[in-house]
Amino acid sequence: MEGSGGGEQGGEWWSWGAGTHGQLGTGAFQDELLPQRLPPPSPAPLLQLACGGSHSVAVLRNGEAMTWGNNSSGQLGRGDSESSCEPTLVKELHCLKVHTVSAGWSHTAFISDDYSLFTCGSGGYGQLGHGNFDSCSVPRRVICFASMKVFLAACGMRHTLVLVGSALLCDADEEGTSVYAFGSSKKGQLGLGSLGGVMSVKGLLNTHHTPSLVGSLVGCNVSSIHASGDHSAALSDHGNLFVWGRGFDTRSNFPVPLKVLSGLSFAQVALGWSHLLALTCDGQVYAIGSRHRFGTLSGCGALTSEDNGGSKSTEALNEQRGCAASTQASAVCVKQFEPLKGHFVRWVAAGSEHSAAVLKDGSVVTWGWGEHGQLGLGNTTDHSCPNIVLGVPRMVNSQVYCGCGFSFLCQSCT
Amino acid sequence: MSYDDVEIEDMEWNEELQAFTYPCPCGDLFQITRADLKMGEEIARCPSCSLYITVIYNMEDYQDPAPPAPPSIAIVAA
Repeated sequence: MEGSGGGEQGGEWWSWGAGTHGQLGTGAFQDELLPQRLPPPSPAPLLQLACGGSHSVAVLRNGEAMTWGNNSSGQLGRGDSESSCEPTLVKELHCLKVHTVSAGWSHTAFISDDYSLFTCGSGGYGQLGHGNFDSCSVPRRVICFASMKVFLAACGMRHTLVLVGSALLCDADEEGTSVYAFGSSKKGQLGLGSLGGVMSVKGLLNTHHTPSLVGSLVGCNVSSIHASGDHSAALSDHGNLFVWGRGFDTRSNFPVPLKVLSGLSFAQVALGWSHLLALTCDGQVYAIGSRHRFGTLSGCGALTSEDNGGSKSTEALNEQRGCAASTQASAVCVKQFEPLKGHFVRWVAAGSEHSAAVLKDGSVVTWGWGEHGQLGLGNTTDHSCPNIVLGVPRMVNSQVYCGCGFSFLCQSCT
Repeated sequence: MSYDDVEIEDMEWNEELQAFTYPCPCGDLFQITRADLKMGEEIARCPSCSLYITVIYNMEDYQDPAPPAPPSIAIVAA
């Protein structure tokens, strides 16, 4: 579900949690309550992982992509609908070198090293961007981006976001980025609504099978995009956070990107189905969403923009640059995640209803919903506070990835 | 506690399962059959976990169509 590029990974990797669709890549269709060490998928090191609803995708350093898990909608991109419990090469990408991937509920996006976007899987809401509502079991190029450089994709439950360079492919100098969106817009997750709430979500088309420009993010210098469930988020290169789509704590939806006024500069964002985690440049974890059902975010302190004073200079700068995203401070509240206060966190990940983080010393901690063993703690209970996952070595450059009820940990080779 | 409230129009008909489905955060699908809806059931359960959702729908939409009105023309035996 992540649209931010990962660092380089080594050969060591582990998985745990829900596995009945084969999404853990263990060679078995079963849940695992403890981290399972996996054999290297290929002689080439892992570069990035993406975990979706019940399938997973890996990018290797040699540009190959591997998929495994649920394939009922063709989301594994292998031309069939047979699920698999072992990572298998996506031959249908032929000789293309894959640069980055994203996995949604039942669709997948691949971006090649020549900045082309390919999608496969479920297309019933137009989330493949192919101009129709058909599903597709082989990765197919999204032709409307033919003259643009696609940098990142983020796949949610029924929608997709794409980050492209603003300049045309033929232009030498690049200036800024643009965000495009397609798929279901029922909860405002495409961000195509008008400012000021003049047009309600109900007044918009419910689905867009052709990519549309998210106009209010033009000029916002977006550097990463995120989609999960019916939520969308973006981070600017100044560390500003934007959210849109389904509301976190309210029944209202936000059909236009809202700038979260926190006065903080964020370096990484992880999005779940009812919560968002944001990591500051100095390793502190903040969160949006307070549905306490699984204790995913209980213990959040009440830090609002008022407490923080705000960073007026950055706001002013963005206004000058014509960034039109709405700034309703009261609508979205970001709070420090108290249980990790004082710890330096290197990396955060969010599954549908659970979370994971890598601490400074390389310890992996998990919290939230635990029914399928997705916390890797050897039990199926929910935990409102982070617990250290035993059975995996502490690796300072490791990265953790979470899908719907399952998790992966990868060792960095650097 | 219900995980979410979902309108029936946001659920997908699954031919294989013969049920309306909606994604469950565990990776499986919440399911409810036409027969359930006809009976007024509003809970869609996930077969893989303890979660369930409340389905928002109009019960009358899932009742059998009313029997046709009797012919108004009297049939007279010859």
